[in-house]
Amino acid sequence: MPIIRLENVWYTYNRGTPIQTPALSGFSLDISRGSFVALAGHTGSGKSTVLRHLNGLLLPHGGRVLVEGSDTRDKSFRKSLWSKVGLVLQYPERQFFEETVFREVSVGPDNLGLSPSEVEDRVREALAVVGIDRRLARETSPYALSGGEQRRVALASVLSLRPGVLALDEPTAGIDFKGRQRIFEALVELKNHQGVTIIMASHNMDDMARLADRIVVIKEGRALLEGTPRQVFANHGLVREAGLNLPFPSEVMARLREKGFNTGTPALTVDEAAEEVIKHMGARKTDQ
Amino acid sequence: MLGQYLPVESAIHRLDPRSKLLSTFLLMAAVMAGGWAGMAIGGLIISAGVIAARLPLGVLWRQVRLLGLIMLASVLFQILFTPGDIVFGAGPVKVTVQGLESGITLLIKILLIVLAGIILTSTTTTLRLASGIELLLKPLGRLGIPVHEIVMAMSIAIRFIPVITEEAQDIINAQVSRGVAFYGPGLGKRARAVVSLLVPLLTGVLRRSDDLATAMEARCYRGGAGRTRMHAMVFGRADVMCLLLTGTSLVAAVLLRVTLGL
Repeated sequence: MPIIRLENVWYTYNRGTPIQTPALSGFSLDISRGSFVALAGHTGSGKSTVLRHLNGLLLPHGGRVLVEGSDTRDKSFRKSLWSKVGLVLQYPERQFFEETVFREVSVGPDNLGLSPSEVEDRVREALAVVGIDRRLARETSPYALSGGEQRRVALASVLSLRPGVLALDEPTAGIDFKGRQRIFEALVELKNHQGVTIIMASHNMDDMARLADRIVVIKEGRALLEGTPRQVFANHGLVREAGLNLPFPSEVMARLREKGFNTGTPALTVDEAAEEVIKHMGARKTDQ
Repeated sequence: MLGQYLPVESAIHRLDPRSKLLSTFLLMAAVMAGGWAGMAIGGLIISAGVIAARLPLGVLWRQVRLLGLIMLASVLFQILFTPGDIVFGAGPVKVTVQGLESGITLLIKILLIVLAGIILTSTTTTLRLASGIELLLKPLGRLGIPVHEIVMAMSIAIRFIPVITEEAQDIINAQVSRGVAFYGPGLGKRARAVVSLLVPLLTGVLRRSDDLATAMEARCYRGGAGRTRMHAMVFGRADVMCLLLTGTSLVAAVLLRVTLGL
């Protein structure tokens, strides 16, 4: 059974007012336990809305959302949902309000009612995953850190909940290359060593090609395409229709194909693309 | 929303905001200071204004209704508690002739004043209103008051209301996702929840102010000194007529009340 199921979900912002905006129009998705699912779509496609349904922040106006078999509409279930599905919104460092990094990361576990020693364990663990030195944690204010470090502290403040599912809205937006690498390393570790199910909204195709087990392309509140990265990027027409670009190597191969070069399956990495080109050039040479 | 700008093409929309501001005040003064004559003259001018501004009556009615409760409460109070010749009732709560008269007068006056205000704000964008206020208060600059800067600060504040509202919602979402309880039992918990909203909100506001100031400076903003306008505001014939009309209505209203008791 999928750990999360979205069944024909409909949602409209400001419903019933003159400024109502439809966000989801019959969106369905099954997420299997332990997988890494990427939600790809351009701004306004509904990615953030989907994520907010996962921890019960939003309730569907049509259809339903099931987490571990329970409907998010159930109020008593929702009360504990926030710790089961950890949601990291965009630019999460904007939520900081505590005086030290330690206290900021301990907000979640405190609200779980854990003992001080348990809270300390959780904080230590979370900071280790994201690679923040815990010795600084007790003395440093979150505002004294760099942008990338702040982002990782914000991530840690949700990880300290030990959620079984982690939902992230563009976790690397505005972060430099090195910072992004560190965040992705943390996510991969969570998935491989702790079996955390990850759902990430993004519009960086290259990252998704590398990290995701499955990609869902969302357009105008509906799922347009779904499958493994290779399956999804083979459909370059639909991907472009959704307002997205292909990962760079795939884009190069797609353009070569348009020019008449008969290259094979979509390349997801530069190495694959290089091999394809070499193979093709080699083949052409023997024709002559 | 009350008094929201309605983008329509009309003679009133085209008037200079300064004349509209002054005329509205003169009209409001005429209605308040005058008696029945003042209300009649004011009512006539305001009705003409509503027609000339081509404001959809349905929208107007809905906006007036928003204040309905307050108006009704004030009027009821007047009717029931004014001493005088009793019509019916007993004890402290009685309906008197004077009570009825002052109640009805109050209702009409409030209605007219609200309508005058609505005409002003629905025919003038906040930007033009701010410019108008700034130009009217400019003479105060000679007293050393930074008129332009004050008006600019207020305009920016108004413009940022929706931005800050949205940010507050985002912050609440983030905190709720960490289990911070904004509702429910526990005064201590709720206090912590409020802190978790206010601190990031304030930090965000300060950060935005800083960025905005830098952006304005990068476009050579130096305050009001030597600043010119893209749309020059010029008084036209219509503006002068408007001022004359409302000015004389004030004078007439006061005179009629003082001399003939109307």
